[in-house]
Amino acid sequence: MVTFLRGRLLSGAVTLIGVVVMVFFLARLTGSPIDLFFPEGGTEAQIRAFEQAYGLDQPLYKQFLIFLGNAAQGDFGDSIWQQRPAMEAALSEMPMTLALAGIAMVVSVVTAVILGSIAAAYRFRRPDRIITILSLIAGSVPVFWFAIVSILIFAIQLQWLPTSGSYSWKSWILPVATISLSPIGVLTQVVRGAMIDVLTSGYVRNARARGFGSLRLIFRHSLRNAALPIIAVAGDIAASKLNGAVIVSVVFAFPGIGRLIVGAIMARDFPVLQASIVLVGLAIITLNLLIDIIYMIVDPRVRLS
Amino acid sequence: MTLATEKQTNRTFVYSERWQMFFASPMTVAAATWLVFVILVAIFGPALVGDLANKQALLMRFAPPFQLEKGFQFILGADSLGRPVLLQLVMGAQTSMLIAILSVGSSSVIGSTLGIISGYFGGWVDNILLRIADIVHTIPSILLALVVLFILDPSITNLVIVLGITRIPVYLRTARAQTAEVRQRTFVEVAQAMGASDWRIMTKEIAPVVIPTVRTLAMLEVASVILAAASLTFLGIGLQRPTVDWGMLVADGQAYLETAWFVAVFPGIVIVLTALSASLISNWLRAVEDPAQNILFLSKPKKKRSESK
Amino acid sequence: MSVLLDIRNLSVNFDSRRGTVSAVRNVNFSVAQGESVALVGASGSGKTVLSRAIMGLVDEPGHVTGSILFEGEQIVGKDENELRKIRGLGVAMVFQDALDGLNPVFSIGSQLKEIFTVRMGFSGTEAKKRAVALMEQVGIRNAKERYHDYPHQFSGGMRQRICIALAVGLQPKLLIADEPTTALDVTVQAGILRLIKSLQAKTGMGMIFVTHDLAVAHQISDRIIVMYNGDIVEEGPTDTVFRSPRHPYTQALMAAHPGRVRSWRDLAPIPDEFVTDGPGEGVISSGPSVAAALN
Repeated sequence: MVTFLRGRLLSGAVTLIGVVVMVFFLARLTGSPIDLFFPEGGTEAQIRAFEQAYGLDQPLYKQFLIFLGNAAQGDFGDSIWQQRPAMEAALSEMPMTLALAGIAMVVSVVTAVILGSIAAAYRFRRPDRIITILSLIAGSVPVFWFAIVSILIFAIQLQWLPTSGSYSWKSWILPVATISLSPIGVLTQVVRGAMIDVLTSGYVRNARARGFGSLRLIFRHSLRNAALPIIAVAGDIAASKLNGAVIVSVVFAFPGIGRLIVGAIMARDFPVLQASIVLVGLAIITLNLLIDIIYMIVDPRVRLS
Repeated sequence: MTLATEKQTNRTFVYSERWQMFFASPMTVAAATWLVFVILVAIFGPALVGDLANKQALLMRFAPPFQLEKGFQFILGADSLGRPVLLQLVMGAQTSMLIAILSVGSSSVIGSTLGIISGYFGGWVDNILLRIADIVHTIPSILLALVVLFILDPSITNLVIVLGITRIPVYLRTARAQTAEVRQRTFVEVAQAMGASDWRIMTKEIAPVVIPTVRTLAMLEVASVILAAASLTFLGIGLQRPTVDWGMLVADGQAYLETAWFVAVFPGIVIVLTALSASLISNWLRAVEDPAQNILFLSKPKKKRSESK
Repeated sequence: MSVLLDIRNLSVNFDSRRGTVSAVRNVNFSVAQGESVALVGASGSGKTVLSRAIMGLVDEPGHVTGSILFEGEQIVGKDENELRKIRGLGVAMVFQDALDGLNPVFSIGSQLKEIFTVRMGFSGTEAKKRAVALMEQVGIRNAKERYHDYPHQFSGGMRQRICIALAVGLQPKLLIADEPTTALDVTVQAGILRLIKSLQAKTGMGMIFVTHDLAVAHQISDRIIVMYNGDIVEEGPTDTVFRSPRHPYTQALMAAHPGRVRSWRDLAPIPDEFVTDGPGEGVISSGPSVAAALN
């Protein structure tokens, strides 16, 4: 168990370093910030000063080593456009994104568990067919288009909800729905499959033959087993939420790391871009580690192997 | 019964079962029909439509849909520059399908090849490939594509490269897992004992087992790639006019949502239908491989027939 | 000996899109207290469906008609709540799939303990004591240490022993064992049979032992019932049936059994008229299929 955890921690660390390395080289290739900062081509001295201030006058490998050393301390330099450290800018956007992703995660898991369980209970019959087809459709709707159509219907036509911003609870409804839709489609299918596997398993039938009641059959003998495959895909689902968060930031002008990253790319703000992506990577790696631990607690076959 | 004839009857049995399942589900037939239609439009449409698609006509600006008096090409309305939405969709079909097919094709071939190599040799090759796949997988695909596409010039080729790279890990992991499992089986061990080369074992023994799985996965990936490509072009990166795809068309319409809803809505519907069709076909492929799994087809798993006669 | 189980005109039908399939047709038989009955037949002959019907475990789209009296109580038509009281305490069942029979996420001990706390209302400590005793009774060595182990840490044979413990733990009046050894290695089959036989002798419970293997039936039963294609075709004391089988199907089964022949040349195939596409899989699967394949 300890070796398992140590292995996971180690591979998480290696992945994080990989992300940092990749981010550095990718960002350096997107073009020079000098052109952006001095659109009219500043004086030689101005450019020199700028390069020195941001370490752009060093050879690439040196820039990388400095970057790596600083990154280890969470220092990604100052934002080129905002007058503050890049990490601080990225961190300040994180709570909003985590809240949005977290709420959306709860919404999609709850919905998928309900729909998937109904489908499994009525397997091969009408409710199952309807839910299966709906979940396939949910997985086929482009996130951005769903966002636009829901604005059209609920904000423009019905005027129930605001089109953008994040001022009241109402402005959270459409972004959360937008981010949840396609994960609900995928997850419903997973829940349905897991439920059917468990309900038709030998151990549940045996428990029934021992004379246990249906509540006991569901809550003690099925739920934990059915949760395993759902936990296993939770990491990928969470990552897809962050994809959705980028779209939502654009369509609904919703604050968060998505908006920051899109802005940083447009403005060639390297430090902010690097800090944000490393932060997103760190969040996903941490989440996957948490999922591994939960899986280990729930499944003795992993815990004891 | 000789072995040869037995094999043959077996094969015809599998084929008829497959098609029986295909025609038993009207939705699968509809999905296939739509996909074939879209592909035909993508191949021949742009040539037939010609310049008509991009002809700007300010008089036609935001012409409403479902009215025939302005000509059939305006049946789905016209956009802010008076270009017919229907014909824009035809032009977009070519780009969208080209991107989807090329990126799924390249990522599935590269991904499953790497996966087979990784699973077959194991050891450090396996470790490094898996680690790289993990890193690519850790960054949300849209973010990765955003960053990469900002380096490269907007073009179909670059969009295909980006989408291909972000989807490779999916195939790599699937093919690797299956190869590692197949490697243990007797027929592979026999081939090894008989002195077959690694290359021969990978291509003749392992690939035939891995390919059906990859095929099903690839069909499902067509749907995800159509959606991913549209997301990127919607965000305004990857392509530039005069090249259009369905995602760009939605983005174009977004600004005029209040005056002309149809400009953004119709391209979206086309995306939904196409992605959904690809998922349905993928479901059918999966059901063909494991009939007990799927409800959209036969209501119950077919009973085994007597094999003893 | 008083009658424990009495079955009259029992039929089980399954509705499907392709029409109704009758798995069991108008079956009559009874089991006395402490008696051991072997239910013999090929796969698909209806013996498993019949035993599930006795437990009240036939679900949609299956329908049970007729009468099943257990200790004078009618089982057919009871709702799930009433059936629950009989299951485990009255009739218990051991199934074929030993490997899938225990919940992988709970320890062996907690699954054994559960039957005592839930079905008999014992306190935790008392239930645990009984669970350990039960493990010892079915031949698990170091029962106390293995109490906290999980199913995947046990071999197939050991898991089936635990399943048997779970079935007999509540001291049922009737045990139904549905091919409890077919999924296991040949080497452990004999041990499981001996265990079941000794438990039955010790507790005096009645038993229905479902099998396709005539040698096993002979070893374990007082009486044999032969099923073919949903019907009972022959019934009688085990020795009598073995000495002089009356029904042609039983005779064919006997002749096809490999235990009676010295070389495969002596194997007689099951005559074609008995090889059916029957209600189940329709494949005659014990000795006969060997014979048929060799033909």
